[in-house]
Amino acid sequence: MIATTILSRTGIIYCFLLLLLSSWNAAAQIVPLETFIEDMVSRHGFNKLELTQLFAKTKVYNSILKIMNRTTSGKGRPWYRYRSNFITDHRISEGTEFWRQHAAALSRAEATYGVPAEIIIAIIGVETIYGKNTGDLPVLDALTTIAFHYPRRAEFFRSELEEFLLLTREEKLNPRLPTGSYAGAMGLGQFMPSSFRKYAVDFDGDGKRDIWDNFTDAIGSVANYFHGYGWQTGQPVILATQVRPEAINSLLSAEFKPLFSLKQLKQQGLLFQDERLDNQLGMLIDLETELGTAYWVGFENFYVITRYNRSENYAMAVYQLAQEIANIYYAQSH
Amino acid sequence: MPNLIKFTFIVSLLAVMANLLACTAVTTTPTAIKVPPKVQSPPLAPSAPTMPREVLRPSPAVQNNIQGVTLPKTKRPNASGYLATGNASWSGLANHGMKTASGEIYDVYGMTAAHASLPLLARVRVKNLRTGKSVIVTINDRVDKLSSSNLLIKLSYHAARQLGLLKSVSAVEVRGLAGDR
Repeated sequence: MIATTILSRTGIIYCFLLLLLSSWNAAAQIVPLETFIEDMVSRHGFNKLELTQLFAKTKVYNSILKIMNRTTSGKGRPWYRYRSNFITDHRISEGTEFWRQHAAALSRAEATYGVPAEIIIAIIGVETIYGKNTGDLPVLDALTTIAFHYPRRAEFFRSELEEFLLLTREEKLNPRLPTGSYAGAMGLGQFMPSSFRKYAVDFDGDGKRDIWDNFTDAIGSVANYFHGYGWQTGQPVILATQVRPEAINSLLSAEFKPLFSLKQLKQQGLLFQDERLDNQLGMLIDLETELGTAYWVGFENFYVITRYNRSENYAMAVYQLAQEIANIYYAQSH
Repeated sequence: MPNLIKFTFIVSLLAVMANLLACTAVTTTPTAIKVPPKVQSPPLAPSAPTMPREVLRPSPAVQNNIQGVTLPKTKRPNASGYLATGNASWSGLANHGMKTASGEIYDVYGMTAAHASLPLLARVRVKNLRTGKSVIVTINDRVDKLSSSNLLIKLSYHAARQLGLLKSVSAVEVRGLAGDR
């Protein structure tokens, strides 16, 4: 009796996995541009002729497809090498300069959304070196290239292309003009079109959401993005810890999400030394330093940073750059 | 690109075949099918979702002592007027995650240091006397005067690296900075 139950359970789970697999497979297929246009006409009331003419002039970039093929494999660089790319003396001092220049917008963003100024600055610093490197490819071309020529990510980028057309219509922008990265990420904070529509804000009240040239809008938008993903004001991001060697594997094999309280993690072998945080939710993080592997507890706010870019290295770089900038900024403002 | 198309084709073929099999697998033994052993039993049970969110937040008094981006909001003790020269060393991974005298947890990437007498959480500028390079660190721990009589300050790994003195004990100047008014 029990055996049958288990068997049919496995069967159901397996059926579900297959459904996922086959839907992923179907989704990976590229739909013809004509179908996409028809879809935009029927679902969003776009003009078929106008869209056809718009796409007739888009350019397919082979260079983008090359980058897409390159970025798919491997676990990536060890943390200490990743770190030295993003956290440099130069990026720290420019971050403090950015803070001074945009202090009013940053403190208003902090007050409105509860996200510390240094975190907003660090995101813009890591993404585009404070706006110096926002990308100069036409977003329309970049999204079209991937959506119709790169099967593995076609579905996602088709949907971003749809969002892009909607946002240019809403914002009254010529869809040929906005520029961005090879993947269509736009402006100071490198927002994808769907993130733009959800989280970009007109933070200076001039009637436009401009995340390319308007630093106030870009600052408010990054803060609102973190707010939207559940940033917890005043809570820790990540803290160093020791861990029992025999507990490391099981603690690291848990889902990448702060699901367990520190009290529970300690029962499993975490040697975290601050008992005041026992009720906080956290997860064990391991990173390669020059001295060897070191361990941290990532809290909800660390997870929120990974919603900007799904990488532990990325989130740690943003956090540590933020801390270094704050360290210098607060010392100088005395 | 042809490889991708081929791959997609094979996967879709597999998916169709496996779907046919799977529908019988619900009632029969699925031994013929290899389920990828990806789903391990989780080592832990998630915390009870019934716990109200508010309970999980520490009191504001606690928040101020947590090392992190909220730190600058604590009232910093004054250290201006302090000036000394002496030797600096640094601490490594063995102390990573250990509680310091200030209650903060030591992080190898923190900009912190241990000192015998300066007020905890005061800020100082430390200068490498050999190179002239300087960094700002927060005093968050104590060095034991007796055991390291020759030592003025013990830097975090990252602060020592920034100063270029990882290789050996080096002479530094320590200058206290003003606190919050």
